[in-house]
Amino acid sequence: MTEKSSQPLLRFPGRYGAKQGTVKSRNVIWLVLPTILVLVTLFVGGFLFGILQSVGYFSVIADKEQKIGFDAYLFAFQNETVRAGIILTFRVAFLSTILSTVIALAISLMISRTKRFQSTLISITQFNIPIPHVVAATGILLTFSQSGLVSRVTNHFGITDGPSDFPIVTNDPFGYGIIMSYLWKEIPFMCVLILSALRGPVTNLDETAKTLGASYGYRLRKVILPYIFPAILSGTIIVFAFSFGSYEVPYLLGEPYPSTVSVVAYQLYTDRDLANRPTAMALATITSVVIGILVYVYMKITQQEGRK
Amino acid sequence: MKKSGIRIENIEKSFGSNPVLKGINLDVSSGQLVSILGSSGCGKTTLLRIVAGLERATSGHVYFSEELQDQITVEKRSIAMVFQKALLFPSMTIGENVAFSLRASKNRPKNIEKKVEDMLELVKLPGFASRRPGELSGGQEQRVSLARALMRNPKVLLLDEPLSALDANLRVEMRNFIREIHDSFEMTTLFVTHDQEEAMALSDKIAFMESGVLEQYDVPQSFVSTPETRKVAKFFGCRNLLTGKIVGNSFETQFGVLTLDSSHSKGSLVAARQEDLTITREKTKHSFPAKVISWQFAGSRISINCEAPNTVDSNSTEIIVESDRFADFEVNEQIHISYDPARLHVILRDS
Amino acid sequence: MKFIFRPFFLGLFVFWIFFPFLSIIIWSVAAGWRFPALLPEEYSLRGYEVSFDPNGDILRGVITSTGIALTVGVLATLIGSAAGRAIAMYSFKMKKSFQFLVLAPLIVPGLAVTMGIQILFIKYGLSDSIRGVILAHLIPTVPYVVMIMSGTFANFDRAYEEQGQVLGASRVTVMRKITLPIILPGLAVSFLFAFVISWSEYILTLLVGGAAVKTLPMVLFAFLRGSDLTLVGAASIVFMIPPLILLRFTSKHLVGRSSSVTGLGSV
Repeated sequence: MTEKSSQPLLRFPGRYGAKQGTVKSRNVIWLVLPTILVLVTLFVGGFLFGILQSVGYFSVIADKEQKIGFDAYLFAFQNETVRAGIILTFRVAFLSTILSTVIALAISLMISRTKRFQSTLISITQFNIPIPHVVAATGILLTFSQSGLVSRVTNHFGITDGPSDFPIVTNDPFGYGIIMSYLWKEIPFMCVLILSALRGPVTNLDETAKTLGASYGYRLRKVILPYIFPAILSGTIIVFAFSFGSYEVPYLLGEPYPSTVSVVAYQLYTDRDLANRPTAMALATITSVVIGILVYVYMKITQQEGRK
Repeated sequence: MKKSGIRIENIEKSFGSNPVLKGINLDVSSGQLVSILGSSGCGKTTLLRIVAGLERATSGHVYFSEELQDQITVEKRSIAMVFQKALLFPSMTIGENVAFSLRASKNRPKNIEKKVEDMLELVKLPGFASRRPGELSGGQEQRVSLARALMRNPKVLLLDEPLSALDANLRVEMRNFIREIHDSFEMTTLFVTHDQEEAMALSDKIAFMESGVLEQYDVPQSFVSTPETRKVAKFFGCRNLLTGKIVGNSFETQFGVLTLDSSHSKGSLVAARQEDLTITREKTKHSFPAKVISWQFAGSRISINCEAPNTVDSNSTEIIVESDRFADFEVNEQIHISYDPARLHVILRDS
Repeated sequence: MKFIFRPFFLGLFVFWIFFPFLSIIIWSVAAGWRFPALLPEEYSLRGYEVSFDPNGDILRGVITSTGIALTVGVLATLIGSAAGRAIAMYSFKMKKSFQFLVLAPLIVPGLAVTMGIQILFIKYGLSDSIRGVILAHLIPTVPYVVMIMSGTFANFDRAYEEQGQVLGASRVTVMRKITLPIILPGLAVSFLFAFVISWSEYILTLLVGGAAVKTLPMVLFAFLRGSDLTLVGAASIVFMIPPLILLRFTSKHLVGRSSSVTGLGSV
């Protein structure tokens, strides 16, 4: 037990000072080179080429005229399908992110306070992480569709009368099915992040706060939450970006129209009318920019609070 | 707030099948500073944590001024604790750290900032309130930790090896400081340490533990002059633990008969502190023959290894003598070791 | 009253995690399950027979997916670990820009990037090939590995390596015998994430691989568009098994005191 209070206090690099100093070395170049190669050529290249195609370069049309301009963007914003898609995407992404963060936080705190079965609970939480999103979507579909398992159960007990009496929560206009599928995977993911953060030196700080007379609520507010804040922040960003840009889940659980921005973009990209390609690229670029801006704003806001 | 005494009654604690505390009974009077001393693994930190309420004992009770504490959770016990690491809350300033217990309580007193400033002055860190934990040295952090704990004005102050992480000079300074604070606040303090010198210098009484058992609970000096068990004698530096048989006021050892200053009815172990023995050329009133084997410097003293030939067999018994003067003797020289019967201590409990 | 609160919600949580599997499992062994029956009228193992048919799409999909995911897992782990070490243990010029570069793929949808890069892929003959798919899969996986490993290396004490060096060990030996065992949990978690991401990837594979590369998600997607839910169920179960096996081996490293996932928590 002496061991517990003599654990060195982990310091997040950059936030409260690194545990060990960093070193300068010329060999660093070899360490970072592979990553740079991969990411610059594939990622940056892809992104740039996407932008270029969205303004008309590399046109695949056999048209002699290469029109360079922002026509594709204008077209996108004026298009009904696109507009409806953007609204749907925002709705689904925001709701998924907020709900998964709040629920994951609550569950993680509850798990951390449970002494019995704690390791079992943690194992169960991890269970969803390797499950592919396609399977998750399948599960939600088969369970909550109008002819799914839940509908059969309610029908059996007389709560609903036949498949059409069951509320439409999959392939629905609001996006319930999509949100459910996202939540099913995202909540365990955030739980894993938060639980890792809760396991660290924060337990010593919590004990100290206990000996100073602080109730659980006070400790939560003043000690625990500030400490796990970076983990929550990371998780929220990753989850939001994913929810916004995913293809598989909205395709399987959404309606054909309107569908999320990624689905629309893909449809336009693979459309027989090659003139729609630039529009697809424009959508993709818009998506990236929007997510980027939102993440930046989010970080700025929370950075202020984090510093307090 | 009136300070309270602590009564620890029959505390036992096992972690799984591993017994860490085997029935501890301890009575601390109000206002005393008691050290819980022992080597690593003896259970002293576990005991402290049970008093704090951070652990639950497997059996036994803890009382503060005869008020049973067992069912009271940590945050509601009238304690304050300082750990080995200062554990200042990284998201708060020094001032906010010190004020923590006040803000966490139901009734927030007014003029918290003034109180914080006063407390920081008390721990000789005036004006530090707006600084941040990362900016302070180890010693300063511990003083803040102390200030933070004292702010709670608890009945009982618990310190878990708070000086172990500091370097030697700082440790002496800090322990004097802790004693000062203790005296001015008249707190009841439990101080866990593995450092014998620290315990001796600091405490009103020492509770010496080994392997989950309380070996002796006494004023510091007694541990040297009258150790109650072999383990205590060894820990406090007695290097001559002589086995033998008590006969009246004599102690028959393998190498001869030693005279004691009073009659004892039982006991098979006698502690003879090395500094209470002297080497002489000739026999004296109380002495026995021995041979010098080797010697070495021990700080500013000399430690001399001797061998006293056994009378019962052909082996000899090792005797260590410590002297502050360089006597003129040589290795392998036959000499006599003189002792003072009053300084021989019979150990009654041989654990 | 308070005692019921937590077990209730945790129980609900556990139920919520396992419940959607129920319908998948039941469908996978159903021969006929028309509404409104609570359970299938008939059972059969047809779904699994088809799944394990050596000439069938599913098994071929498994082999393709496994090959790709293993390759991606190893490559991403190697590439990302080096970068993670650089971030955690070294200071260098443009480090902040590098960190931004590494994090960006987590934020920008893979679809956007892959649509953009397809032109290049076609030009260099990487389209419709497994090589191309592997490259494309590196985009979403390398960032995860970098984050996890930078967390692992942040906890790693350089003193261990220095100790090895002053005892006369060569750099390679130090890496093999000293560093590797210590960072192994981080590597395991990295591999897990990279493998699972590649294994589950659909749209990237579709774009780059086209009709030529048939990974398991694509096979499953095709079934989902059909109406043979038995096959969907069985194929889903088959799809889930390899990642779960991987999880079994690495789960103890996912949440622990020296957890590598803390790297993910420091965006």
